[in-house]
Amino acid sequence: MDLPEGLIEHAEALVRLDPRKPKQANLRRGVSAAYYALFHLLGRAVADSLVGTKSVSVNARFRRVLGHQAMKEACRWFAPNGQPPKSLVTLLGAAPQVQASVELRRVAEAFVVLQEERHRADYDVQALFTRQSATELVARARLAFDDWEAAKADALRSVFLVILLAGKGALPDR
Amino acid sequence: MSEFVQTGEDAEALRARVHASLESFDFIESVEVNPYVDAGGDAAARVNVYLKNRDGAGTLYDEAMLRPVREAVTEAFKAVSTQLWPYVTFFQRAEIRWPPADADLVDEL
Repeated sequence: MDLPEGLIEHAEALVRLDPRKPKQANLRRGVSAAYYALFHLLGRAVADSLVGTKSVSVNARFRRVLGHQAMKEACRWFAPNGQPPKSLVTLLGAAPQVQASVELRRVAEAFVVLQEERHRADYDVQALFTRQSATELVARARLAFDDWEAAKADALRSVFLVILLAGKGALPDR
Repeated sequence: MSEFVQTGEDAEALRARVHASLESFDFIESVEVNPYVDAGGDAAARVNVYLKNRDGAGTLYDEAMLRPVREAVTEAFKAVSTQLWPYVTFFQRAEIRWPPADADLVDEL
Protein backbone atom coordinates (compact mmCIF):
# COMPACT_ATOMS: atom_id res chain seq x y z
CA MET A 1 0.00 0.00 0.00
CA ASP A 2 1.37 3.39 -0.97
CA LEU A 3 1.36 6.40 1.34
CA PRO A 4 -1.83 8.15 0.10
CA GLU A 5 -3.94 5.02 0.46
CA GLY A 6 -2.43 4.28 3.85
CA LEU A 7 -3.17 7.78 5.08
CA ILE A 8 -6.79 7.82 3.96
CA GLU A 9 -7.41 4.50 5.68
CA HIS A 10 -5.68 5.86 8.78
CA ALA A 11 -7.95 8.91 8.70
CA GLU A 12 -11.06 6.76 8.36
CA ALA A 13 -10.00 4.61 11.29
CA LEU A 14 -9.26 7.62 13.54
CA VAL A 15 -12.67 9.25 13.14
CA ARG A 16 -14.41 5.96 13.93
CA LEU A 17 -12.63 5.52 17.27
CA ASP A 18 -14.36 6.06 20.62
CA PRO A 19 -17.98 5.43 19.52
CA ARG A 20 -19.60 7.25 22.44
CA LYS A 21 -17.28 10.14 23.17
CA PRO A 22 -14.88 10.86 20.35
CA LYS A 23 -11.66 12.46 21.49
CA GLN A 24 -10.72 15.76 19.89
CA ALA A 25 -7.20 14.43 19.36
CA ASN A 26 -8.45 11.52 17.23
CA LEU A 27 -10.86 13.64 15.21
CA ARG A 28 -8.20 16.29 14.60
CA ARG A 29 -5.56 13.79 13.59
CA GLY A 30 -8.11 12.16 11.31
CA VAL A 31 -8.76 15.45 9.52
CA SER A 32 -5.05 16.12 9.28
CA ALA A 33 -4.36 12.65 7.86
CA ALA A 34 -7.16 13.12 5.32
CA TYR A 35 -5.51 16.29 4.04
CA TYR A 36 -2.11 14.65 3.79
CA ALA A 37 -3.65 11.69 1.99
CA LEU A 38 -4.89 14.00 -0.74
CA PHE A 39 -1.67 16.03 -0.70
CA HIS A 40 0.40 12.92 -1.32
CA LEU A 41 -2.04 11.57 -3.90
CA LEU A 42 -1.60 14.71 -5.97
CA GLY A 43 2.12 14.89 -5.24
CA ARG A 44 2.57 11.35 -6.51
CA ALA A 45 0.56 12.17 -9.61
CA VAL A 46 2.70 15.22 -10.34
CA ALA A 47 5.93 13.27 -9.90
CA ASP A 48 4.78 10.21 -11.84
CA SER A 49 3.51 12.38 -14.65
CA LEU A 50 6.52 14.67 -14.99
CA VAL A 51 9.56 12.60 -14.00
CA GLY A 52 8.19 9.08 -14.31
CA THR A 53 8.78 6.11 -12.06
CA LYS A 54 12.03 4.65 -13.41
CA SER A 55 14.02 6.20 -10.58
CA VAL A 56 12.23 5.84 -7.28
CA SER A 57 14.62 8.19 -5.50
CA VAL A 58 14.32 10.96 -8.10
CA ASN A 59 10.55 10.56 -8.07
CA ALA A 60 10.50 10.79 -4.26
CA ARG A 61 12.75 13.87 -4.17
CA PHE A 62 10.70 15.56 -6.85
CA ARG A 63 7.60 15.26 -4.65
CA ARG A 64 9.32 17.44 -2.08
CA VAL A 65 9.32 20.33 -4.55
CA LEU A 66 5.58 20.80 -4.18
CA GLY A 67 4.45 23.62 -1.90
CA HIS A 68 1.25 23.53 0.10
CA GLN A 69 0.33 27.17 -0.45
CA ALA A 70 1.06 27.10 -4.18
CA MET A 71 -1.04 23.97 -4.55
CA LYS A 72 -3.90 25.59 -2.68
CA GLU A 73 -3.77 28.63 -4.94
CA ALA A 74 -3.80 26.45 -8.04
CA CYS A 75 -6.70 24.44 -6.68
CA ARG A 76 -8.66 27.61 -6.02
CA TRP A 77 -8.37 28.40 -9.73
CA PHE A 78 -9.91 25.06 -10.68
CA ALA A 79 -12.57 24.80 -7.97
CA PRO A 80 -16.25 25.38 -8.82
CA ASN A 81 -16.26 28.82 -7.19
CA GLY A 82 -12.70 29.63 -8.20
CA GLN A 83 -11.41 32.91 -9.56
CA PRO A 84 -8.77 31.93 -12.12
CA PRO A 85 -6.34 34.59 -13.34
CA LYS A 86 -6.97 35.93 -16.82
CA SER A 87 -3.71 34.42 -18.03
CA LEU A 88 -4.97 30.93 -17.16
CA VAL A 89 -8.27 31.53 -18.91
CA THR A 90 -6.36 32.78 -21.95
CA LEU A 91 -4.06 29.76 -21.88
CA LEU A 92 -6.93 27.29 -21.71
CA GLY A 93 -9.30 29.19 -23.97
CA ALA A 94 -11.95 29.18 -21.23
CA ALA A 95 -12.16 29.16 -17.46
CA PRO A 96 -11.32 25.84 -15.78
CA GLN A 97 -14.81 25.98 -14.26
CA VAL A 98 -16.16 25.61 -17.82
CA GLN A 99 -13.65 23.15 -19.22
CA ALA A 100 -12.73 20.85 -16.37
CA SER A 101 -14.80 17.84 -15.45
CA VAL A 102 -16.94 17.97 -12.34
CA GLU A 103 -14.62 15.36 -10.80
CA LEU A 104 -11.48 17.45 -11.33
CA ARG A 105 -13.20 20.54 -9.96
CA ARG A 106 -14.28 18.59 -6.88
CA VAL A 107 -10.72 17.39 -6.29
CA ALA A 108 -9.52 20.99 -6.41
CA GLU A 109 -12.25 22.15 -4.06
CA ALA A 110 -11.60 19.34 -1.61
CA PHE A 111 -7.90 20.20 -1.49
CA VAL A 112 -8.61 23.83 -0.55
CA VAL A 113 -11.08 22.86 2.15
CA LEU A 114 -9.00 20.04 3.60
CA GLN A 115 -5.86 22.17 3.78
CA GLU A 116 -7.75 24.84 5.71
CA GLU A 117 -9.30 22.31 8.05
CA ARG A 118 -5.89 20.70 8.53
CA HIS A 119 -4.60 24.05 9.78
CA ARG A 120 -7.51 24.34 12.20
CA ALA A 121 -7.13 20.77 13.35
CA ASP A 122 -3.43 21.11 14.02
CA TYR A 123 -3.19 24.67 15.37
CA ASP A 124 -6.54 26.15 16.46
CA VAL A 125 -7.17 24.81 19.94
CA GLN A 126 -10.56 26.54 20.08
CA ALA A 127 -11.91 24.89 16.95
CA LEU A 128 -14.55 22.24 17.54
CA PHE A 129 -14.43 19.01 15.59
CA THR A 130 -17.32 16.60 16.02
CA ARG A 131 -17.67 13.12 14.63
CA GLN A 132 -20.08 14.47 12.00
CA SER A 133 -17.78 17.29 10.90
CA ALA A 134 -14.60 15.20 10.92
CA THR A 135 -16.24 12.23 9.20
CA GLU A 136 -17.61 14.48 6.46
CA LEU A 137 -14.15 15.91 5.82
CA VAL A 138 -12.55 12.48 5.68
CA ALA A 139 -15.32 11.34 3.33
CA ARG A 140 -14.57 14.29 1.08
CA ALA A 141 -10.97 13.17 0.89
CA ARG A 142 -12.11 9.65 -0.01
CA LEU A 143 -14.42 11.09 -2.67
CA ALA A 144 -11.47 13.07 -4.01
CA PHE A 145 -9.55 9.81 -4.44
CA ASP A 146 -12.46 8.40 -6.47
CA ASP A 147 -12.84 11.63 -8.42
CA TRP A 148 -9.13 11.72 -9.21
CA GLU A 149 -9.39 8.27 -10.72
CA ALA A 150 -12.51 9.24 -12.67
CA ALA A 151 -10.79 12.39 -13.94
CA LYS A 152 -8.17 10.35 -15.82
CA ALA A 153 -10.12 11.01 -18.99
CA ASP A 154 -10.12 14.75 -18.39
CA ALA A 155 -7.86 16.54 -20.87
CA LEU A 156 -7.20 19.23 -18.28
CA ARG A 157 -5.83 16.78 -15.72
CA SER A 158 -2.27 17.10 -17.02
CA VAL A 159 -2.53 20.88 -17.15
CA PHE A 160 -3.77 20.83 -13.57
CA LEU A 161 -0.71 18.83 -12.51
CA VAL A 162 1.68 21.28 -14.17
CA ILE A 163 -0.04 24.22 -12.50
CA LEU A 164 0.00 22.46 -9.13
CA LEU A 165 3.76 22.35 -9.45
CA ALA A 166 4.56 25.63 -11.15
CA GLY A 167 1.65 27.86 -10.13
CA LYS A 168 1.74 31.24 -11.83
CA GLY A 169 5.11 30.33 -13.28
CA ALA A 170 3.31 28.08 -15.74
CA LEU A 171 1.16 30.94 -17.01
CA PRO A 172 1.96 33.48 -19.71
CA ASP A 173 2.77 37.00 -18.56
CA ARG A 174 -0.09 38.56 -20.43
CA MET B 1 -14.74 40.47 4.95
CA SER B 2 -14.08 40.87 1.24
CA GLU B 3 -14.61 43.75 -1.13
CA PHE B 4 -18.21 42.63 -1.52
CA VAL B 5 -19.11 42.24 2.11
CA GLN B 6 -18.04 45.66 3.26
CA THR B 7 -21.24 46.61 5.02
CA GLY B 8 -23.63 44.93 7.36
CA GLU B 9 -26.23 45.18 4.61
CA ASP B 10 -24.03 43.20 2.19
CA ALA B 11 -23.36 40.57 4.82
CA GLU B 12 -27.07 40.25 5.46
CA ALA B 13 -27.72 39.84 1.74
CA LEU B 14 -25.20 37.01 1.65
CA ARG B 15 -26.73 35.35 4.70
CA ALA B 16 -30.21 35.70 3.23
CA ARG B 17 -29.09 34.10 -0.02
CA VAL B 18 -27.50 31.17 1.79
CA HIS B 19 -30.56 30.64 3.98
CA ALA B 20 -32.86 30.74 0.96
CA SER B 21 -30.71 28.24 -0.91
CA LEU B 22 -30.93 25.76 1.97
CA GLU B 23 -34.64 26.04 2.72
CA SER B 24 -35.51 22.92 0.77
CA PHE B 25 -33.28 20.68 2.90
CA ASP B 26 -35.62 19.49 5.61
CA PHE B 27 -32.84 17.89 7.65
CA ILE B 28 -31.18 21.26 8.32
CA GLU B 29 -32.07 22.87 11.62
CA SER B 30 -30.20 26.16 11.30
CA VAL B 31 -27.33 27.88 9.50
CA GLU B 32 -24.74 30.46 10.52
CA VAL B 33 -22.67 32.50 8.07
CA ASN B 34 -19.79 34.33 9.71
CA PRO B 35 -16.72 36.25 8.57
CA TYR B 36 -13.55 34.21 8.64
CA VAL B 37 -9.91 34.67 7.74
CA ASP B 38 -8.29 31.53 6.44
CA ALA B 39 -4.82 30.26 7.25
CA GLY B 40 -3.41 32.03 4.19
CA GLY B 41 -4.79 35.36 5.42
CA ASP B 42 -7.55 35.55 2.83
CA ALA B 43 -10.98 36.86 3.77
CA ALA B 44 -13.46 34.00 3.69
CA ALA B 45 -16.69 32.87 5.30
CA ARG B 46 -17.41 30.05 7.67
CA VAL B 47 -20.79 28.45 7.15
CA ASN B 48 -21.87 26.30 10.07
CA VAL B 49 -24.75 24.01 9.16
CA TYR B 50 -26.58 22.48 12.12
CA LEU B 51 -28.36 19.26 11.22
CA LYS B 52 -31.34 17.73 12.92
CA ASN B 53 -30.43 14.77 15.05
CA ARG B 54 -30.59 11.72 12.88
CA ASP B 55 -32.40 8.63 14.11
CA GLY B 56 -30.47 7.35 17.09
CA ALA B 57 -27.51 9.02 18.68
CA GLY B 58 -24.35 8.39 16.73
CA THR B 59 -26.00 8.04 13.32
CA LEU B 60 -24.23 10.32 10.89
CA TYR B 61 -25.31 11.96 7.68
CA ASP B 62 -23.24 10.57 4.86
CA GLU B 63 -21.22 12.56 2.36
CA ALA B 64 -23.64 11.93 -0.50
CA MET B 65 -26.46 13.49 1.50
CA LEU B 66 -24.43 16.54 2.47
CA ARG B 67 -22.85 17.17 -0.94
CA PRO B 68 -25.93 18.95 -2.36
CA VAL B 69 -25.91 21.25 0.67
CA ARG B 70 -22.29 22.24 0.05
CA GLU B 71 -23.03 22.77 -3.61
CA ALA B 72 -26.05 24.96 -2.78
CA VAL B 73 -23.88 27.10 -0.50
CA THR B 74 -21.28 27.46 -3.24
CA GLU B 75 -23.96 28.50 -5.72
CA ALA B 76 -25.35 31.02 -3.24
CA PHE B 77 -21.94 32.62 -2.86
CA LYS B 78 -21.47 32.73 -6.63
CA ALA B 79 -24.91 34.29 -7.05
CA VAL B 80 -23.94 37.30 -4.98
CA SER B 81 -20.63 37.64 -6.83
CA THR B 82 -18.53 37.45 -3.73
CA GLN B 83 -14.98 36.21 -3.89
CA LEU B 84 -15.22 34.85 -0.37
CA TRP B 85 -14.51 31.17 -0.07
CA PRO B 86 -17.23 29.41 1.94
CA TYR B 87 -15.85 26.87 4.41
CA VAL B 88 -18.85 24.69 5.25
CA THR B 89 -18.92 22.66 8.46
CA PHE B 90 -21.67 20.24 9.47
CA PHE B 91 -22.71 19.54 13.04
CA GLN B 92 -25.50 17.51 14.52
CA ARG B 93 -27.18 19.36 17.36
CA ALA B 94 -26.80 16.41 19.66
CA GLU B 95 -23.05 16.49 19.25
CA ILE B 96 -22.67 19.99 20.63
CA ARG B 97 -25.27 19.71 23.37
CA TRP B 98 -23.33 16.87 24.88
CA PRO B 99 -20.01 17.91 26.34
CA PRO B 100 -17.29 16.26 24.27
CA ALA B 101 -14.67 14.23 26.03
CA ASP B 102 -12.32 17.22 26.26
CA ALA B 103 -14.80 20.04 26.76
CA ASP B 104 -12.24 22.62 27.82
CA LEU B 105 -11.35 23.09 24.18
CA VAL B 106 -14.86 24.09 23.09
CA ASP B 107 -16.14 26.54 25.67
CA GLU B 108 -17.17 29.11 23.04
CA LEU B 109 -20.01 26.84 21.97
